[in-house]
Amino acid sequence: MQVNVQMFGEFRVLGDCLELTLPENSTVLDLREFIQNQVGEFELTELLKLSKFADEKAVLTDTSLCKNNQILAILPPVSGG
Amino acid sequence: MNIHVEVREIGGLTLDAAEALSFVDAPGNGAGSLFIGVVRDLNQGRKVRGVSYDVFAPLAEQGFAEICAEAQEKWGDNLRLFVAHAKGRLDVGGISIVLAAGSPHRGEAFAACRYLIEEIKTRSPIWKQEHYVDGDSEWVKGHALCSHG
Repeated sequence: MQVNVQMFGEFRVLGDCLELTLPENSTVLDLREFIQNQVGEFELTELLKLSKFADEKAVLTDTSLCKNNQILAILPPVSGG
Repeated sequence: MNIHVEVREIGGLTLDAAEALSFVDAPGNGAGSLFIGVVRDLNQGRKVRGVSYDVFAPLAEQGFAEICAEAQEKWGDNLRLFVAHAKGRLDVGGISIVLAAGSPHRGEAFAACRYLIEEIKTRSPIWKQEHYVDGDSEWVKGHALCSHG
C-alpha cells in the first residue's frame, strides 16, 4: 500500500513529502522503521526517535494502522509560539 | 462562536493585536488580556536576522481549538478566545503569534491567556528555523509531542 508522509522542521532536508510503499497492515511503528532505514545518511536517526506521526486530526501511536493512500506527517519536537 | 483559531500565511494579512482584542470584546466582558510573540534579534548569543515558521496547519488549528476548549472548561465557557499563529518567514520584530482572552473579570483573562501560550508552545505542530546574521540557519530544538489513543 501507498502512504504519503509530509516532512516538517528538520525533516525538510528529505524533501516536502515522501511517497512510500509499505506492506499491507503496516503500523506506524513499521513506517517509523522503514524511514529509519532511509535517513541514516542525514543524521536524523536520533531525531526520528523523538518524533511522532500524525494525520490531520490527531497524533498517532506506534500501534496505529496505516491506511492505503493515507496522508501522514512526521512531527519532530515542536518549537512554536 | 466565541473562539477564533487560525494559522495565517505570511504574505497575506499580518497578525494584528487590535483584531484579536476586537474579537474577544463583548458587552459582558470587563477584561481583555493580550499576548504577542515577536521575533527577537538574539538567541543563545547568536544574532538573529529572522525566523521561518513551519506549521502542520490542519492539526495545529485543531489543537488550538482543543486548548481553547480546555481553557473554557477551567475558567468559564463565557471566555472569548483568539489564537492566530504565523506561517512563513518573519524578520526581527515580526509578530509570530497573537493570543487574546476576554472575560467578565481580569483573573480569568490573565490565566486563560497564559494557559494558551504555554500549551501551544509544547503541544502545537510548529517549528522554528532561525536565520542568523552570519548567514547560517538552524532549526530550534523543541519539545517532543505526546500521542494518545
